Amino acid sequence: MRLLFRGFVALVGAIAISVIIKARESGSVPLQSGGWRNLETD
Amino acid sequence: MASIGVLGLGAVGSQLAHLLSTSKNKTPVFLYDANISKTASLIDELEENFFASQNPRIEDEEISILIITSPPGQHLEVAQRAIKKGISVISTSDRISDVTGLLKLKPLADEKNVSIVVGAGFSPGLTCVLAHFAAKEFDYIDEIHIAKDGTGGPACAKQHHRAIKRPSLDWWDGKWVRRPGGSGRELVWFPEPVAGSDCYRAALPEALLLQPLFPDSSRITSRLSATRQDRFTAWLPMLTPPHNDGGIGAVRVEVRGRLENERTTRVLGAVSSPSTATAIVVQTITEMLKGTTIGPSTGGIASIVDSTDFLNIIKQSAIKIVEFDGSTK
Repeated sequence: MRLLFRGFVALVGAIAISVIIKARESGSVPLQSGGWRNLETD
Repeated sequence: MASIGVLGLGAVGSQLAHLLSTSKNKTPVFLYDANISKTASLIDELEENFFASQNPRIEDEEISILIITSPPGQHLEVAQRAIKKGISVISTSDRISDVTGLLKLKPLADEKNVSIVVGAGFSPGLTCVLAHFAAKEFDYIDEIHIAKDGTGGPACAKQHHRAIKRPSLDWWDGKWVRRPGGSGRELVWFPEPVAGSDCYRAALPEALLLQPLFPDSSRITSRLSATRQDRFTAWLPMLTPPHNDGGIGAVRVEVRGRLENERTTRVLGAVSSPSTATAIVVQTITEMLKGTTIGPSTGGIASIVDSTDFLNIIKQSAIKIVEFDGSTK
């Protein structure tokens, strides 16, 4: 029973850590305005 | 007549064989693959100047150029054997160990008077050429950032899976920096129809190939697009067999620098199926090597050919080359 409880706590802890890391992940979100045109090599 | 050897008839090798068969110059081409039935069925579809060989017996054939399109990790040993026999080598591998190993063979290649074209593919390969071409407009290059989306055949998909879990190798303020693969999420805007995709650090060799061309630049980085599932399962073996071809993909090359004391950014991109694009890039570099325009040299495509000449040929193919016109902030 104690082992099961420890396992449950570890699982909850792992989920919590992943949620925190995900929330802190600082991916900047660059915006784009404009468009793509064919490259001119001349 | 000097002939060509193609080692590996996967998604890239088989398309390359078809492209070479359309060439006006009927140079003999020897095809090698571990799967003999695949080689035999491909030979039936090709011209009379194509021959099957059961193994890469470089010593037996009169080959002047060996194109290695076998899965990454299998390039170094066969390349070394070929160079010792005085055969030029074109490698499509995007694995860091293959690229570093092949670059280290430069003294041997110089001694034998042959060329080694390293990382000849969609990315690296075309991306290096795009970076070099974009850089021509600048007085000084500060940063080069490369991103790629999509995979070619099964070997490419396996390498994508492998790369995302291994540390990246970036050029950062004058030194090599390794960071965990799968970190550094960044939303990258690729040309249509790929558009926005989250990209992450991964074990990619672009910086290794570009740094000798831009030794004074402060940053050269490369990223790989990946889904959450890719990142979550990166530490596991591939759970499902990879597809035969990953379909459409894209690359994006962002060069930041100074022009007349003003900071400027130039963004170039390309859209194609990665396996098709790699086959086209290899065919183009092979034709250029066969001609007398290039002397013996070792490095990435951008350090071997003139980027403008190369892009002028590539633009006529199935690869769409574009430039971003607008604001990236």
